[in-house]
Parts: sequence; C-alpha cells; structure tokens
Amino acid sequence: MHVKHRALAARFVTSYIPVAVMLMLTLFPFYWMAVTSLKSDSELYDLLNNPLVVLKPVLTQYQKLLNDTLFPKWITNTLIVSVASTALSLAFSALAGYSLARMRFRGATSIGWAIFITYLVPPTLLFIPLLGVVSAFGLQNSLWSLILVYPTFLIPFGTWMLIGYFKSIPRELEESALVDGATRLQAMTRIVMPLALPGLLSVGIFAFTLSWNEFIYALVFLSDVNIKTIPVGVTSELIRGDSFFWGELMAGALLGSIPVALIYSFFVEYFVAGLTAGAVKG
Amino acid sequence: MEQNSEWHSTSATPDLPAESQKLTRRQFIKTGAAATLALAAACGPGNTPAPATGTTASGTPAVQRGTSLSMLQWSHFVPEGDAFFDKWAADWGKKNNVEVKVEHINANDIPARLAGHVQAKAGPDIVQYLFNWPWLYPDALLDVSDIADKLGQQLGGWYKDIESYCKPGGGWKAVPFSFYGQVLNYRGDWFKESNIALPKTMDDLIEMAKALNKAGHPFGQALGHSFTDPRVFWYPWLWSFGGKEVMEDGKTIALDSPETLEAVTKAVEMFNSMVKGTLSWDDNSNNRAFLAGQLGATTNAASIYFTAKREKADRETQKKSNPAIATPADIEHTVLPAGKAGKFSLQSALSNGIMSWSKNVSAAKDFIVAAMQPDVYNDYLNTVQGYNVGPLHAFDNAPVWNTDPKIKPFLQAITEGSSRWPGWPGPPSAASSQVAENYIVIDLFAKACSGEFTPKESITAAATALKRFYK
Amino acid sequence: MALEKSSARTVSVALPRANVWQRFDEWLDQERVLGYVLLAPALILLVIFVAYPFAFGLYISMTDSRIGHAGSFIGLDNFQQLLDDPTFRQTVANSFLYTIVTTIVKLVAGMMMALLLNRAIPFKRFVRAAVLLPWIVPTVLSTLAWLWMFDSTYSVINWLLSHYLNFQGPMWLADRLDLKLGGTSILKTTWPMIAIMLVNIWRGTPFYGVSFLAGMQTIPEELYEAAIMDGASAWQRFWRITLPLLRHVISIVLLLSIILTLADFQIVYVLTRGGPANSTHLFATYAFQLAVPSTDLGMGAAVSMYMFPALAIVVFFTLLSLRKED
Repeated sequence: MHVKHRALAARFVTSYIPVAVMLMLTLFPFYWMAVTSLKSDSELYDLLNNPLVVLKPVLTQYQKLLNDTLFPKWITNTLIVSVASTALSLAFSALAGYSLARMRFRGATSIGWAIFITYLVPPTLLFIPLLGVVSAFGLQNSLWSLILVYPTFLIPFGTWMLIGYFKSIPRELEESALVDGATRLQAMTRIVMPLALPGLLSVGIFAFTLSWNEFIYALVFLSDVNIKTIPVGVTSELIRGDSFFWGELMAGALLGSIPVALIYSFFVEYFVAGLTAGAVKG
Repeated sequence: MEQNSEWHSTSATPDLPAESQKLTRRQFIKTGAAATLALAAACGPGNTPAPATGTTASGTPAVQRGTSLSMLQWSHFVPEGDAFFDKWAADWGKKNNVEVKVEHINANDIPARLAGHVQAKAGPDIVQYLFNWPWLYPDALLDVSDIADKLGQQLGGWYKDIESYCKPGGGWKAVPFSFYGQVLNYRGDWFKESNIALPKTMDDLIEMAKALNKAGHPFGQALGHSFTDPRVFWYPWLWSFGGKEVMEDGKTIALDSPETLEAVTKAVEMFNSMVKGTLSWDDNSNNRAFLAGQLGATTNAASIYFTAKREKADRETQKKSNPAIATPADIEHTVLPAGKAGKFSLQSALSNGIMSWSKNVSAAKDFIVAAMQPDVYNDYLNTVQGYNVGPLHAFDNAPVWNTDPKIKPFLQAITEGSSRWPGWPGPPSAASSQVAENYIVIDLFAKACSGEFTPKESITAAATALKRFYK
Repeated sequence: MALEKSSARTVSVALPRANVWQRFDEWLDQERVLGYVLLAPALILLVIFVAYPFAFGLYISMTDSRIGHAGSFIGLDNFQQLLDDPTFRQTVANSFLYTIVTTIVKLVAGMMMALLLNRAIPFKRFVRAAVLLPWIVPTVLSTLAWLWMFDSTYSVINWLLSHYLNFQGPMWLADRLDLKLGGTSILKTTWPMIAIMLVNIWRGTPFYGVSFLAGMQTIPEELYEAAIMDGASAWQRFWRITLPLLRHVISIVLLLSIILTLADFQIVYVLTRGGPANSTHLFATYAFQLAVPSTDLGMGAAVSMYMFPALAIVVFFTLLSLRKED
C-alpha cells in the first residue's frame, strides 16, 4: 500500500500538477474571454467587482453580436475562404511536391528553392502591389481574392512539407505499378496519394488554420461588410475608436474560435501523426 | 432631391428630350445590372460596383443615375450616429435611384484601406478623411471646389482650420464634414469636494493635475500612438508654451528652442502626477477609465458624456454601491486654457473626398452636398448630441446646442477659433501630415515622460526625426 | 486530370483517335514533361501573386514612391537613410530580441509540453486539443483578449497580482523596465516588449509542443527499454535518445516558426501599434507604419527588404543542419 501511495503521489507531482498548470496557462485567456462576454456592461466596468466571477450572467453581448452585426455571415465567409483556399493549395502543393520529390528534370532543384523562398516574402510588403493585381483581375471586394491569394503563403510550405512526405514513401511501390503498365499519373493518384493521406491531412489542417487566421489581406481586399471575415469584421465593427465593445469583442473572439476548435478536436490525432511523419525517418 | 437640384450641374444631357433620356437611363440600369450579374457570377459573393458607365472622349467619366455609390467612413464613436447616417444615405439613394453603400471601419484601419485603394486606383467613391489626410493623397482626390465653394456661400462660410486641411495645393480636394470638439472633461463632484480650481492657464493645468492626484482622482492624458486624443492635447500644449516644430515657411525646423524645452519639462512634471499607464493609452483608454471613476479629468470629445447618458439609469444604481462611478450629473466640460504664448487647440476634423476613380462623380457630389443641408445635418447633430460640430458657421446656432448646457463647451472649442493644424505655424503640408502620422510630436513628450530620454535628448531626437520630412 | 479517359485508352489501342491520346500520354509520361506539368499550377499562381508583386516591391524600395505617386529611382538611398534612423535601428534590435527570446522559450516550453503530453495522463485527447487552442484561434482575436488583460485600468493580471500576492503589477503596455542586480542594470527593456513576447510565446508554444509530440511518438519504445536496462537515467534517456532523434523535427519547427515570428505583425498591431514612442516596432509593423499611414511607400518597402537577409541566414543554417543528416 505504501508503495502504491508513493507512486500516486509521484504521479501527482510529475504529471497531474504540471498538466494542470499547463492547462491553466494556456486556457486562462479563454476563461477571461468567456467571463467578459457574459457580463453586462455595468458589471464589466465596475472596478469594485471581482473580475473573475460573473455576478449576473447575461447573454446580451451574444445577442448583440448575433443580431446587430453580421457575425454569422462572417463565419460563413471565413469558412468558405478557408476551405476553398486550403483545397486549392493542397491540390497544387501535392502535385508540385510530388513532381519535386520524384521527377528528374532540368531546373527541379532551383524551382524547389524558388518556391520555398516565396514563403519568406512578408505579406506586409506584398499587400499593396497585390491589391493592384487583384483589382486588375476584377476580384477586389470578392472572396475570390482571398481564395486565390492565401495559397501564396500556403503552397510554399505545403509543397515543402509534402516533398518530405513523398520522399518517405518507398519508391518500390510506384515502380512495381509502373512495371505493371500504369502511367506515372496513375501511379501517383492511385498509389502515392492514398499513402500520403496523413501528410495531406495535416498540411491541410495547418493551411486551414493559417487561412482562418489571416488579417491584413482580408482587411485590405474586402470592403463590403457582407463579405468580411471574422478577424476583420470583429475588429472593424466592434472597435470604435474611443469605445471598444469589450463584451461583444470577447463574445466574437470566442465564437470565432469554435469552428476551428471543433475541427481540431476531431483531427488532433491525425494532425499530430501527420505533421512530422514526413520529416522523421523510419 | 428637389431642394438642391441646382447641384445637378453635370448629370443631365441638355440636348436630349426627356423621353430618350429616360430610355438611356433605363438602358443603363439594365446594362448595369447585367454587368453586375456577370461580375457576381465571376467573382462569387460580393461584387465591385459595376463599371456600367462609359467614359467620354475626354476621359472624364460620364455620369449616370441608376448606378451605385459607395462610401468608406470610420465607425462613429457614437454608434447612433452611424445608424442615422446609414438610414439617411439609404433613403437618399432610394429617392435618387442610386444604390448607396456606406461602410464603417475602425478609424485606425482606414489608412491601410486607403493605401490599397489609392495604389490600385479602385475602391469606394467617397472616403472620409481625418485631420489633414487629404494632404497625403492629393492626386487620388478629385477637385470639389465647385460644391465646397457653393456650400460655403450657402451656409455662412467654412471654419479656416478645417478649410486648410482640405486644400492641398490650392483647390478643394475634400469637403469638410464635421469637427468634433475636444475639451477638458472633469468630475464636477470631485472638483467641488476637494476644492480644485479650473485651470486658467496651462501652468494651472499642472497644479490641477497635482491637486487631483492628491485627492486620489488623477488626471489622465493619452500619450500613445492613436489618431486623436494624443494629438489634440500635446500639439496645443507645445504651442501654448511657444514651442513649434517648424517656422512659418514650413521648411525651417524650429523645434529646438527654450520654449520647447519648457513645454517638455513641464509635461514631465505633469506626467508624474498623472494616472499611470498613459504612455500606452489609445483613444478609448481615457473613456473607460473616466467612466469607471478612475480619473478626475481628461481631454476628450463628447463620447464619455454620451455613454454616461445612455447608461444613466444603470450608473445611478451602481453609484450607490460604488461612489466613484461617473453619472451624467458628475461630468462637466470646459475648454482647454490658454498658455503664455496664446490660446491654442487642435480640433479633430472630418472631411469627405471623392476618389479619382469614381464612376459616379455627380452622384457623389450631390450626396455630399445633400448631407450638409440643414434639415439633414441638424438632425444628425441632434442624434450625436454634441459629438460632432458643424464646420460651417450656419451650424453655430444649431438646435442641438440648446438641448443641454453641458455640451456647450464642445461648440465653444470650435467657435472661439483657437484651433490650428499639425505643423502650425507652417502651412498645412504633406510633410507636416507625415510628421503627425509618425507621432513625432507625441513621442517628443512620451520619450521624456517615460524617462527614456531627458527633455533635451528627446528634443534632439525629435528634431532629427523631423529632418526626414522637412527638406 | 484526364485520368479516366487515358485508362480507357489502354484497352483500345487500335483506334487512330486513341492513337493521338496514346502519343499524348506517352509524351506526358516522360519525367521531364510531367514534372513541369505538375508544377505548373503552383508556379503560375505563385508567379502572379508573389513574384510579380515582389519584384514590384523590390523596385519601389529603390524609389521615393509615395502612395498615389510613382516616384523616381533613387538607388539604395532608402536603405542608406534607414541605417541612420534610430527608430529603424531599434526596430532591428527589437525584431531580433523578439525572435530569439520567444524562440528559445517556445523551444523549451514546447519540449516540456511534449514530454508531458507523451505521458499517460487523464483525458489525453481533451488535453491535447485544449493546449492547441491558443495556436488555432485567430491571432487578432486572441490578442484582443490579451489587450484587455493588459488594460491599464482593468488588467486582470494586475488584479490577480495585487489581490493574491499583494504585488503592484506593471503597466504592461507602458512601463520601462530596468532590471538591476547589485546596482548595475543587467537588462534594459520595456514591459510592452515583454508583453508582446508573452503573447507570442503563449500562442506559439502549442505548435512546438504538438510537433515534438508527433516526433516523440515515432521513436521506437525498444530504444528506451534498452537504455533503462543499461541503467540510463531519465535525463540521460532524454539527452541521448529523444533529443537526437527529434533533431530533424526541431529544425523544421524552428524554420517554420522563426520565419513567422520574425515577420510577425498582428500581435504588435493590436497590442501597441509600435508604441509607446516606437519602442515595440518589429520589421513588419515599422514597414507598415512608414508605408501606409505615413505614405512613404519606398521607405516602407526598404524596411521589408531588410527582413530578407535576416531570414536568409536563419534558413541557410537550418537547411544546412537538415542536409548534414541526409
């Protein structure tokens, strides 16, 4: 019994307590968002209250957010943009990654480098000339502008991660298919891609997160309030110069996080497994 | 639109009979709609205003009704103001067969949007400018001298400082829309309780800050990077002591002077009696702190008072348990005092500019003019209850100013004529606007107050920074 | 892809129409053709939306362009002027401090997080999803929550400090910090710098943690068992087995993270906008400040360009360490 107790105590010290501390540090801001969003303005701004507890929880902040702003629309827009740009980037990166991982042709290495280097180009530099390009295509103030521009920062890293993943898949599998009379394309789509699914999935999740997160392009390219994304909609509608609407802002931040959080709660295992599988040998 | 049909200078084609004009118009609506549809199909949700109008041989856009008009403006600090404006704009659009879209965004994000639009030469037809922004984008703005001059004649003339913001290079490039007066907001109850005198000079302001601090209700004044509150206090502070960034020629840097040194030294003295944390304050920090009862005084526009009035009932209940809470009855206003070098202020100003790419210039002009007509504008002033102040003398006697004696100082701040512009005594210019956008004068004080630099070092650093712009 | 058609082709070789297809397929099946074809979509998109704007950016960094004014070519003047600009020098220092400090902390904290998550802990799935939250929430929104937590009047952090520890917290977004040890100052910085680093660390650590966890799970259990047999301590096992086998993952995570950190924009834009008094600017926010509100497009572009050599050095070393292993 004594031993058992000691083992339990050791577990508390080495696992449970550190995990609890870690969760507290990571989740406290979310707790704070939730608390803020459930208070009425008068309770929120009264300095005598204990800020950590909600005395009289009210849903007015959520009601205001959902009724007086176009928040539901912003969620839909963000979803459309994130899903479409992720799908596009994933398809393009998979093709490019496969090509660079498997094919031998002139310039392959330098093209690979060039693609990677585009990842280094900072968006703050690009957004002004890009707006010119976007409006030359007539895409200004359309979700298409974001769907086409987000891949610029998704493809480079996607391609690069997938090159590693494809390289980790044994060549012999494809070669035997080629011997059996399959074309290269068939070998790629039927043999390699299914095997690369975990890698594709985690690159997809990563890309989705970056798209969901993007701020400056969305701020500059979109002007119609109907087609804004969550980060831009929330900040431009709820920050009014000298009066921030903290309750609504925090409600928006919380609600705006839920869709991605849901995706992760389903896919976190895949994400973890696929993220570096391409990079780890063996 | 009947009442100001005189403004339709370019919209009608005189040599066409009425019937064929109508037809053309209808055709245009159709083409416009078709183009919009095609574009929508191509671009998915949301669409750019249809480029339905052709261009004439001279390259100026042909003007047609039945198209759309879009406007970008800040999110008003008083949300009721936006609601009023949007509704009025939509009604105006219906009456004039123009689809009007008004977009409101956080004012600090407008420069990012403007930069993009100006570079791409595409975007909203009308953009609302703050302070001297028209000086930063003169080439992207159409000349609007015709309507600005007419409005001036019609409504008693413009205030000079706001006029100066809107005339980069001579002609009008934007039509002033409004001031919002900046005055000292203070707690009448606490001033009485501790027997603190209202400041008559800027030096008194320091004494006031010290007395308030002693009473436990300190003074607070923003020193961060935000577009109004820091500017409207620290520029006049500098001028009041006789300091200036540049000479009358707008070229010779004049910052390094004993007057500036006094202004900075005194600023540090006052800062040490102010509430903590003002170095990072943006435009909304003082509103919140004041309303929560943390501040005895601050400079601001009418938004603090407006919020207090909106939450009057709640606040009065709360006050029973927390006597620090500010109720409307506790809040008083007074204009900022004069300094030894004279009486100065910097009043925030808004103006509307028509962008060079606009395909609907005459509608844009009509819209801007219609918004300034007394029947509309006075209602707007009533809605925002003293937050905005008319830029034309005709509005000096607007009904709103008789509704509540407490808001009178916001008007007085404008009518007393103490307002200057960033870069004074030099003329308004692109350089002085850039200096303002880079917060060089604010940081002159901030760096000394934070203790990073001595007042002298801070002046040297700011003078060096000025050189990049005045050359 | 025209895959279905092409597979049908293999059956009907004799038809002349199919012959065209067959020839096309054979042509396409060559590596030097297919390689380019597969690359084309990505390349076209990147050329239009990155290469062209980038070239344009490079060009304007060598002009005195203002927003709405195409300026004239002035060579390297902007770059030269920036070297004399104290704010720019501070920006460079800030960017490196920010990147180095946060990267080291995220590396250590992420490793600790991964080691913890790799243990048998209750509600494993929930815990893993929960710790990822900071990383997946839109930065602007979570940073707004931090802005609210750092507020000068309502800071909940300072409330906690004063309420439970009876300690007067700093003005997170305003105060200077001069850490002294025996009368000499050992660290001079500002609380706002610390605040932006804190937010970056809070946001970035989960990505490190989860990636390292992924790496750890691929390490065969037998290695550890054998080490235990040989009497290796937990520390030795970590140092001799875990760390070397994670080297590859660590490099990749560092590479992705350093690039994003050095080019960080949103945290500073929301928390301080570079203030107080330009003390918290990073490359991206200073470039933005010069190019956008102040309309000096050329100068802003030049600031962004300075980011390049810094990134290139980081990337070079990381790739070098990857190459060595292969």
